[in-house]
Amino acid sequence: MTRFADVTGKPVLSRDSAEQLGHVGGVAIALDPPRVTSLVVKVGRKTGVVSRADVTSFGPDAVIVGSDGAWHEPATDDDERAVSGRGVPVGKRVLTEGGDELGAVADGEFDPHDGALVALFAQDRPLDARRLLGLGSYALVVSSEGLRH
Amino acid sequence: MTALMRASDVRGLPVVTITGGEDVAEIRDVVYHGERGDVLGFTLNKRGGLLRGRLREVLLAEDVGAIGRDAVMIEDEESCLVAPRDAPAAVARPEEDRNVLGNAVVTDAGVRLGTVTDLVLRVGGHGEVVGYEVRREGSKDTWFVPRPAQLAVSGTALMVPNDIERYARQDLSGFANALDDYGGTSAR
Repeated sequence: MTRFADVTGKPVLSRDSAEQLGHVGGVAIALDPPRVTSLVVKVGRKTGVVSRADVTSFGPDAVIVGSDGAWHEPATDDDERAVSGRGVPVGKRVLTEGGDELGAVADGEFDPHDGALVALFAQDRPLDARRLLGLGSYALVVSSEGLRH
Repeated sequence: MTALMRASDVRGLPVVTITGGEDVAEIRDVVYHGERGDVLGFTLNKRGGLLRGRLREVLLAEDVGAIGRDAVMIEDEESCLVAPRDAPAAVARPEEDRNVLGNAVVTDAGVRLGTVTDLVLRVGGHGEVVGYEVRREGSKDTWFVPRPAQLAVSGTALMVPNDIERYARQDLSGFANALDDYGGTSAR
């Protein structure tokens, strides 16, 4: 399993050219099903995305993509959600569906092979990915029943 | 354990969509049925910055997923925020003269207990007014008293049973226990 914190800030390198495309600014997710969709990568003044499917390796020192073309400007709804931050959970306040705040998302864990999201972490409290209900610009909403103690 | 909140603590809470994680409005005021005590709905303000101001749409109690300490949760914006023409008049155009804040609380023995300064809501569901915060006559202290099942409301005064003082408490957690006792007594 790979933590968001292990990816964020890492350089993104092209396997074909060995060029550095940029740095990972954030990890974007979707919830149905829970998965990592893309990495937010800033290149110069432009912010774009690298789809998770274009990543060939999440290494200890760099994220490797197949080619320079893996980085692109937002083209889909998921891309727009990633670049706008609506699809990036880290830093978001966590609300239960009952309207109580549990802190902020500090990290996440996913399967680097298929991108399946395992859990997010609010402080040290794990939030099972299957219990995530909604993610937007204001909050991550979780089922109250999904809280592991 | 009964979860209680002052109505003033609900005002200003963000209205957040469960499926979208977006704050689509904030609570402007609580509209409730004076005699029955159930919350009918909420008037709303826009969220944030220069756009703040009253929102035309209202939120009906039946569309509320939950009222929490930090947010009022709804399923989604499209189906839960209702245009005034589609909402009951009591929510779309609440009667200002039915606001109980500032009303005198008078027992049926003719004793004026004080003045209503806030409402106490039972939250967790759609919301229900279960009591009042009352400032005592000649004092700065506030007390919480249960909302009687049979209540006369005139627009300037609330008429309450003489024995209600037995259930008055100064803190909300103690008041929650007193409500349980009061409910048992009043049901008999």
